[in-house]
Amino acid sequence: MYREEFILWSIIALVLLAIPVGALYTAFNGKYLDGVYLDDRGVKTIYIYGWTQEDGGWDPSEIVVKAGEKVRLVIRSMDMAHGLQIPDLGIDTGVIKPGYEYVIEVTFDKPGEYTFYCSVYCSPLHYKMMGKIIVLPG
Amino acid sequence: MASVSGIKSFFGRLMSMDLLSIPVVRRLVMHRAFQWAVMVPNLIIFWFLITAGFIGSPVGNMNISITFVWMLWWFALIAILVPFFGRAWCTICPLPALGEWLQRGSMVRKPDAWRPRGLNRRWPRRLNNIWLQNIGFLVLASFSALLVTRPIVTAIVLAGLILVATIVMLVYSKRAFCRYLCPVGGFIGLFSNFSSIELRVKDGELCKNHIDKECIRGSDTSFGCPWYEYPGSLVRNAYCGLCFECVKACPFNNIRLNLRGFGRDLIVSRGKGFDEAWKVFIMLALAGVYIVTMQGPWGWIRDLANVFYKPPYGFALAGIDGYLIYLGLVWGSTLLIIPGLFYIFSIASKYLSKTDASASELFKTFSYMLVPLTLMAWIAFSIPILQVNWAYIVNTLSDPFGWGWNLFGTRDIHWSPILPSLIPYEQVAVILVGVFYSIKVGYEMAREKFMEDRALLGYSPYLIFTFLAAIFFIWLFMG
Repeated sequence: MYREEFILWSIIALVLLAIPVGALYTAFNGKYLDGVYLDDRGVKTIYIYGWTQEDGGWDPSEIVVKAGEKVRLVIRSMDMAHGLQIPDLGIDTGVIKPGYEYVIEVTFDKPGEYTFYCSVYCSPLHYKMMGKIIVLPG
Repeated sequence: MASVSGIKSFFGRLMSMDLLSIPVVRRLVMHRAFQWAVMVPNLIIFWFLITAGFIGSPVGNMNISITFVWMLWWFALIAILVPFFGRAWCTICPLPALGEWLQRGSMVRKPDAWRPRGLNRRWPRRLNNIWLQNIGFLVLASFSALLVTRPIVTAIVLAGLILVATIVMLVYSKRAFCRYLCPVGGFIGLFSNFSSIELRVKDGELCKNHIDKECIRGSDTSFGCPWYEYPGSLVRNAYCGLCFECVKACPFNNIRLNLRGFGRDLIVSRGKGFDEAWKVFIMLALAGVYIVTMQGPWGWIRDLANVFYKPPYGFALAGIDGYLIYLGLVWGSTLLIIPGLFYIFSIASKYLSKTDASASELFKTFSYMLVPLTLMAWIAFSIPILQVNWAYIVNTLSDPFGWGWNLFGTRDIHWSPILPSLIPYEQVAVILVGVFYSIKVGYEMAREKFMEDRALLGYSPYLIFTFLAAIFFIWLFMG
């Protein structure tokens, strides 16, 4: 093999290797994991996607936080109008149109489990749109 | 009047222009690194899309693998590349890149005393057709509802195609995968017969009398045609992958790359086969099935297409039962119902034209007149994909994995379709363009196939079939 070709092969192999390795590194070094992202201020940002197609539901449907920890919830409707309600905390985003998001910063004071629902009758799969936030002792 | 004839003559000259006569274009394609240079960025992009499919968000419109492949790439391929540039996608396609480089033992240069690597076997003569591509495309179509919405399925299919292409090219010679197996290549080849570009020789006699045939066997600067084609007898675009190896090889500068009018190759008799005829019906029927399933108002049909669908109530058709009905619709309509209907019209044509040709022969010949309408039906199907969902492409450009990144500040551009009320009219206009070219191509065929006084009568069943298909599509779009 020509030397230039060997160098080209090596560069392409490195780039092809770097793409999944870099993505996995980003995913697992704490910047992002299971829908959780640390923003520039170090605030834990949790993206919650709602959609009804197929099995539907919230992604993630189970969120774990620590009591006293400030978190930023970003709730996005992916396919049609949804809303997110946490009755025990008096949180209700109202209608979130598809493609839009609702952002709320909240601090969970008491440990426990808080169930959240879709607050808009979105489809026959509406009843599946449930999840829970598990608040661990701080 | 002078200006009208001036415009006509300008377009006449333009439409027969040899693009390889433009020095910069010729220098570009003559360079050994040309194909490598256009494949590598594409390979890196597709590798990135595969990565995103595997580890990014499972939500389709939040993952670049879905938005780039099934919105941007698909639209660009079917509405721009294929009709205007033929098999130009095959020039830059990254799927066979690794296989070809390993097979050649080189990425760019033609090594001295070169011999192909791998087993270098001949492709089985019995499989020297596009039936495997037809079946492969139908298999993908069978679970397209998952393929175009679930990133991981898209990633598995793309990675699988790269793996299969690499293995096949290490076992068989040249681009056996692209020519006989690639499910995308099958329909690109068929539709590129309609396209406004062609690679042909300037002087066929020169080729005939030239013994060395470097365009096939290769030369110091070329590997020769990897598509099993002989440029000297090339009369259709179907299997020319526009790799330009023949241009690099030809010692007489006898290859041209012409602009031309649409649909020219469809009236060429040589090379036509039932495998390609069925490809037409597969594509025609699938265009209808997809428009009904993915864009129609019938949610229950959409649910049938989803093998994992579990209906909320017990009475609906669920999971595998409903999916089997969908499979029956896909395979039955493409392989039996639509070709069967067309065969009945061919019997009518034979009866009306009193031709000696068999109904099967007419079936095969006139199936090609449906190519323009079929291509336009696919373009019409693809219009709303881009016009409605463009924002998702822009969003995922900034946040390719759906992880909350905002690389270019476009993550939060809201979903807002562009003039959605115009879409049905655009779709109908595109279908009418297809009808025009189908009728034009069919008329040429009828004049060639039938006696003059019977040509119109013999042609009339195919006209009716074309109009019925067009009315069906227009009803789907406007109804």
